[in-house]
Amino acid sequence: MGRAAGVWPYLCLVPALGFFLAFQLVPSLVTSIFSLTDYTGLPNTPIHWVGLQNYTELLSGSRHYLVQAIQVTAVFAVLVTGVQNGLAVLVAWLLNSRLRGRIAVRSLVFLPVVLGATINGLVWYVMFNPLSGPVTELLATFGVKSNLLGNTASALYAVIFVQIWANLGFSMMIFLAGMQGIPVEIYEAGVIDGTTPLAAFRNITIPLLAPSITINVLLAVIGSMTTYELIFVLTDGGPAFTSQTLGMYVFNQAFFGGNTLPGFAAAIAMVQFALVFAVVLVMQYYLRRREAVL
Amino acid sequence: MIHEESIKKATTSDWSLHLEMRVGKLGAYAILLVLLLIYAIPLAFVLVVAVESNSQFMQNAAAWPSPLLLSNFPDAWVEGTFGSYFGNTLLYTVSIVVGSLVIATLAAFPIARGHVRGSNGFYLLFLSGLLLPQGLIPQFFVLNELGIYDTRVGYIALWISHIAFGIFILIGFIKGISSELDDAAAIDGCGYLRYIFQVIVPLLKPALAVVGLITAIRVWNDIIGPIIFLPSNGIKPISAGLFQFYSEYTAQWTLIASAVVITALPLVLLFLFTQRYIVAGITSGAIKG
Repeated sequence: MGRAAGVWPYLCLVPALGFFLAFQLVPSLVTSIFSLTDYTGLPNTPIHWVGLQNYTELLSGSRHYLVQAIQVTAVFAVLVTGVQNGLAVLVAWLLNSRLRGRIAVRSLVFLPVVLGATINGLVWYVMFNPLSGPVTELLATFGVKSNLLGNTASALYAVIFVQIWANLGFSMMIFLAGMQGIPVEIYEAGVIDGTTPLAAFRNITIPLLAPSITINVLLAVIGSMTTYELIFVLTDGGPAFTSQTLGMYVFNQAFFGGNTLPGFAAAIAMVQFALVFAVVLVMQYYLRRREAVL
Repeated sequence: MIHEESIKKATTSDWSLHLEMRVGKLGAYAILLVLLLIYAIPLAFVLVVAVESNSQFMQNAAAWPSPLLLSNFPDAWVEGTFGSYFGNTLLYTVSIVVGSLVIATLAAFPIARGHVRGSNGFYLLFLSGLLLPQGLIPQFFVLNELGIYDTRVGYIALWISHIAFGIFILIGFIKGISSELDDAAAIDGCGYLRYIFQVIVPLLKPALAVVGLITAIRVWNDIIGPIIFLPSNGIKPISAGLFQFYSEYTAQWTLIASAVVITALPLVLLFLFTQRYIVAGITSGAIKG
């Protein structure tokens, strides 16, 4: 059929290729080129080559912001990846059982994935509100008077909490799918040998779940090092840039701050890309090796 | 003697196993309960705040609202121009979902069947779209140069270009459809396009439903896209409208809560009825990607 159709199969590819190249692939690849210009984003303003000036500025004048953004990204990525996956394994394990109410809990935990960053962010904005938010009142009973999102010491951790709350369901579903792929016979053999559920979890579930763990950890690392939707809704990187990750920094520099400079922001985006790439490369190596050993 | 001892041992270990399982079960239920509360309380709290008066919110926000103030909903709806946002989102969602599905199906079929030379190369090319970072700044430049920045057309075009995910899922699905039909159709001299739309598309329905649903949810939830590419309020979709409302009415907690409920309601309903497909779509895209 393919040969008989002549040019038609190629024509069918044209629309998808056109949209994909023009708005996705080429833009993704040419961010590096924009990082070498003084692109302002304003219409009818000429664009000039400035060489590595954006990078030297990033490492001199804006060094403090870059270093802070890298630190914030590191804390955000490590905590989100670790806690989200740790909790997700535990929750998936509990839900992969015959416990009552498991389906309701599963749906409820997954719901935020569907609701999206704006709704999730605002739900917690209302929960954290300094006037009568339940979180604020709960803290007040312990004698802590604080506006979590407005405090430089707590804003980042409040955002991390909401990020995990919002995405736990996603990791949980991938783990659940992985657990359901483990043959029941292995557990039954364990039961005959007198294995406790906890021992079965440690010695059967976790080792056989290695592929799911690899996927989830990699997705969480990439996601947490690049995402900023929820941070944007909750704090926009504030207060005093204490919750400004690299992705948030790029966005604020390119589009949202008072003095936007997309060319300069492109340089930050390149630094971010290099960091994500390096981290993923190293993690991929270790995770795959662990899989092979098991 | 030895025999007896081993029996005794077995029963004690059985008994302790039983106890551990009991305690474990209680612990498991306790954890599930905590989880249920952590997820249900924020959502329930927003629901309560959405129907209470400002003065009650200041005094005792978490208490059952009396009187029940349903007027927050029409107030938020009118003041936030949510009618316009809903209209825009509906337009964006329908055109992006239909456009993406048509274009992705057209591209997925020849690639899946190897009807084009270098089909594996095309496959990898689209696959790269799932891995590469989004080039927001060049995208901004391209839309400006094409004169479609801050227009409905520009936003729709940009979203249709997020086609890698759809092509990826559809290729996998088409490979599972027998190609015997293809040959029969070729003998009949059935036109290529007509064959795709009349024979393949009906068989693809489940996969199209999954891709369509995921695309719709992503468009519905997009916040960064409209903030950058649709600065004009009149053409903003719902999530950006909700954000706009929140930036303008920062201290109007009860109105913000009712706006959140208004925006979340369609998604919650959609989730209730299509949960299985949504979960399958979101996780399969992730696992294979």
